[in-house]
Amino acid sequence: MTHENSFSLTALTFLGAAIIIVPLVKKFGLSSIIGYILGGIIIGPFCLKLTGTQTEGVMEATEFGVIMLLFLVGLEMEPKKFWTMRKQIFGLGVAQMGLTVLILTSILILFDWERNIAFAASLCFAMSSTAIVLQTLTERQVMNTTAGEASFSTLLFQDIAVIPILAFLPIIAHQEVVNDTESEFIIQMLPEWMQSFSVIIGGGILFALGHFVFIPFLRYVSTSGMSELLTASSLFLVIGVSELMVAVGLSPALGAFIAGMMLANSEFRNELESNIEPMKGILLAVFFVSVGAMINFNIIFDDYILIFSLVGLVLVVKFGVLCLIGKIYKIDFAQNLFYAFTLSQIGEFAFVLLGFSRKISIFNNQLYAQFMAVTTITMLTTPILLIIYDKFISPSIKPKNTRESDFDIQKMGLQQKKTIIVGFGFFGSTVGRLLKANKISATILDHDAERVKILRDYGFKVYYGDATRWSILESSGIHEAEILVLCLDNPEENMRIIELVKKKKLNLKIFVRARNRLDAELFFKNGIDNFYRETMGTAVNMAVDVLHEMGMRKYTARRMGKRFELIDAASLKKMAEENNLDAGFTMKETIQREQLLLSEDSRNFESYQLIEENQEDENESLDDEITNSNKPSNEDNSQLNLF
Amino acid sequence: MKFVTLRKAEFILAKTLVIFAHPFFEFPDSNQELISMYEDKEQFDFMDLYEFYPNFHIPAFKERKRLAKYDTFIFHFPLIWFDIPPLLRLWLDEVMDARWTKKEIDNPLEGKRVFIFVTTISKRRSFGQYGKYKIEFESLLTSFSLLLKVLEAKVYPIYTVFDSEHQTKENIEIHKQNFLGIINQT
Repeated sequence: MTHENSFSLTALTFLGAAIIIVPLVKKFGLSSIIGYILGGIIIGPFCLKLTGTQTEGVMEATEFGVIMLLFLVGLEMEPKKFWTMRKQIFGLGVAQMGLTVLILTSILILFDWERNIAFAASLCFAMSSTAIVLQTLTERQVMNTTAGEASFSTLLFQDIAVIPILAFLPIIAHQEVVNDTESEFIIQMLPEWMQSFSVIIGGGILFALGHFVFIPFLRYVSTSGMSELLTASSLFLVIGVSELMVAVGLSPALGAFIAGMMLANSEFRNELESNIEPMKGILLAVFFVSVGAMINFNIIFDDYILIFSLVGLVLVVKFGVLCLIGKIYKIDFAQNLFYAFTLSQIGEFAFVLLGFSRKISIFNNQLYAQFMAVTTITMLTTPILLIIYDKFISPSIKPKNTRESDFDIQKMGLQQKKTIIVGFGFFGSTVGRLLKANKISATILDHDAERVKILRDYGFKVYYGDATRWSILESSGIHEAEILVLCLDNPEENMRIIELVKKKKLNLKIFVRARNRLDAELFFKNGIDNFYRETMGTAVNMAVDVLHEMGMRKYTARRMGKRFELIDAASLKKMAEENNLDAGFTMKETIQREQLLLSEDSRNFESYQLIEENQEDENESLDDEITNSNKPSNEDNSQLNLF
Repeated sequence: MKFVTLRKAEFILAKTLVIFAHPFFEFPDSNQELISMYEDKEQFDFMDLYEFYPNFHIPAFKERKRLAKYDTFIFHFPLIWFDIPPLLRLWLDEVMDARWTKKEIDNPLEGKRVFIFVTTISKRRSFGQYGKYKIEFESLLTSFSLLLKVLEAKVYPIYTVFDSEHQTKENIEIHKQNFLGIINQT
């Protein structure tokens, strides 16, 4: 069996385990991460021994999932938002890393550990798992809560901190690093003083690349109109950036994050997101499975007291530190607990740091294996801790029910509701312009690369993407959206989006453009009340002007037009509800009814003109005739009260 | 005391329609807080005219049918250039029917209680013989009251909040209590 073969076989086993276990675990209401890790344990050397010797290889390969995850996070994070979060990132990050390392080191030294080992181990243990936490946050859709943002900030700082830690570890190793791989880092060629600014330099390079290379490149690709080409270039971008970062000597995950941030403002954000998302999902799944498969139970059994007391110690210290920080940052109690629970594990960056520490012989192989086991076990605890949080803690500290008054008159002022506009041609852009004039920012999707570019130059935040694909809608935030405005030319495409949204049972208000009466009926039958017939208003306006041309007073004509619109809308809904098969007949009937209703109005109007001409006493009979005439309940209002 | 609670219960059974008209509701003139006194959905139905008919097209028949369902009406509006808001004017013009005064025609307003709640940014001292405007405040709404009286409604004295731009929270609370007191006791 060749090397490649066994690698792909291993990967296959991993995927298989994930596919079988995860739905099972989900059925019990647990997080998918637990399923992946369990799957890993089952196929691992301890149970079924299916994984072979390639586990570490697979794990390294699928760490790429973490990189993609950070790229996606970067896509969600506009530089402006990042800048506003800078204090949070450094404040929370420094506090968490500093305190955790300090406390852990002192405790470990108390237990007669060697200083450098205690310190290096604490540094590794202070890391939290980006993969687990971000996956959890997105799975629960709590990314935008206080706890979510705090977790994210802390993780981001840890990711940045990996780089200086890697530079720092050799110093405490009391030995010269054997420069094997590092020597090829471009950064090493720079003068000493510049190396410390490597993050800034790397970021700067990526900024420039993003603006002058990536976006024009994607624009060029998108003009071809082939979505698979865009997928290819998305992948190319992420892999390219991470390779570039490795070459420069920076963390590829951080590089991916910066690259994502660079593209967060571009029109391709949603397209990139929906392309990378599934790949990230698969890679992360395999990554978690490999975490499970890596657990070496022999080592655990050999010295289970040490390992489990370490696990307990790390969890308690990290949890305590996070709680304290949350308290200082005035995160409310429930959120704070969630924050502390989610970040209490040791993260996958610890694997990198531990490996590096072993290489520079801070740890011997025994310690390395034990620490690896500790790391993996803490990872496994997070989903369990979260279950405890959900089942026992969260319900007992539910914030006091802020009684929501159903008195909605006072809902004053414009509320920024998350809005997505699909289709930004002449119709959609009119909608968008009026919204923009009122400072409502919407997420706009369009599938015409040329037009997107032009609109972007005009200052509209338009994203390129085919909204009839669910993944695109998802990446534009359909889950959080409250309003969906569909302005595509093709009613079938609008309908397809409506069906997608209905299928997912999302609770959002849909406004849809309808070309004509038939489209409108279709939308109405599908439960959409807000449909807009593009032909309706204009045609009525035209008729009003024609009536005026005939000599009808403008005001009277406008009233007639308005009445016509109301009657027409009502009859359309009625027809759609009756769902009459013999549409032709109903149509004829409807038109007759409409004419009757409208002529009823003008007849009344005439009779009232009569009332005015005659003396009051004389028109009793006319009055009776009007009130008794079996009038349909139209909305006649043409009597004149002259007082 | 028992008598009072009984009366109150009686009124709560019969619903009150609040006809609210404010073309510049975004303008802070204490109306935003004042209307919270109609919060009790058991007692009040709230009709925000400018929200209902933003394009000034009023379906008169529907409105007439609506009127028949209530036995108390509250017109709540700010003065616009010393007069009632234009949409309320239009609403009256289109909905109120001169024929209601005739015996054989059902009059949805006949004998029903009508309260008028007005706010104005003018101060009380600007009105009256020696005021800036040299006119009695009540006379501004003569035609409005007259229309209601001609249609045989039982019109109660106008309740006015002067200087509505500068009302303290406490004052607004007092106005709310006063007015609710009036409609629930009379």
